[in-house]
Amino acid sequence: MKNRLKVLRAERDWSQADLAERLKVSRQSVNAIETGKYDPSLPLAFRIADLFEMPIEEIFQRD
Amino acid sequence: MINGNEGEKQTAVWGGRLKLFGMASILCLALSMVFVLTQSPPDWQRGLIAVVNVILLLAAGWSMMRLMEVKRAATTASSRYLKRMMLVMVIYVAGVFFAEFLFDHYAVTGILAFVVALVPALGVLGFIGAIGRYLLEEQDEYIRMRETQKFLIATGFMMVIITVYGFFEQYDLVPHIPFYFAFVVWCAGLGVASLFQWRRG
Repeated sequence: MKNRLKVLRAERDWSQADLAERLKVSRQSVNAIETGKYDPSLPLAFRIADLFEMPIEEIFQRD
Repeated sequence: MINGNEGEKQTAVWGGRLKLFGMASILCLALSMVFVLTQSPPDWQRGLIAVVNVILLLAAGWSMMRLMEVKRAATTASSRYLKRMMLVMVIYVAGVFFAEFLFDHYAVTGILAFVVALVPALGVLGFIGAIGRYLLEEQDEYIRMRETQKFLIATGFMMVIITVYGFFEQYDLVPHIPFYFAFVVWCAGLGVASLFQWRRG
């Protein structure tokens, strides 16, 4: 799955640690999601969508 | 909170200590296993190496905890897990010495002998309990997935080693080792799993 997490984060000038803190996950999790090594669970994907105030499908797309 | 240069300095310091104590404990553990297999050195030397090993493992564990905190990589559950493991390790070694002392100096028999033999086993059960509790407490799904993967690799590693060793033992090619070494092999498997994950990124 592709995602726009890195772009969205950069637009807000957040570091991976900042985003991790806002999502209450580890920095490694943010890094793994951004680099496509890990696809988040549905609850975490919803948390990400809520944080960026966007629908999930605008952040995560099929390969 | 640690920032900038101080953070990098702290990372280098604790990272260096972790490598140093980690390597020393691996060497020490290998030496202990050789001692167990060969049964060559006297008991006091084996006891001494066990104590040194625990001190090195505690130092490595503490360095790892500090490194994770400095790098902000530690979750609440992982910090608790490391602390519990260090505590259980001390309890385990104390249990081993307690049981060895009683069996060496007193004629412990019957039910009491089983109870005394269970004392060091409780330490190992504590390790296993701490691992299970960590998986239940870890709230970070990615870390939990990575750790679960590590535990599964370690389990596979242990099954391969004990199966192969068991057949070697069956045909008297190698000396007998106690069953509880399965857990030691499983812990070594955690090291292999970490290496595997590190290679894969």
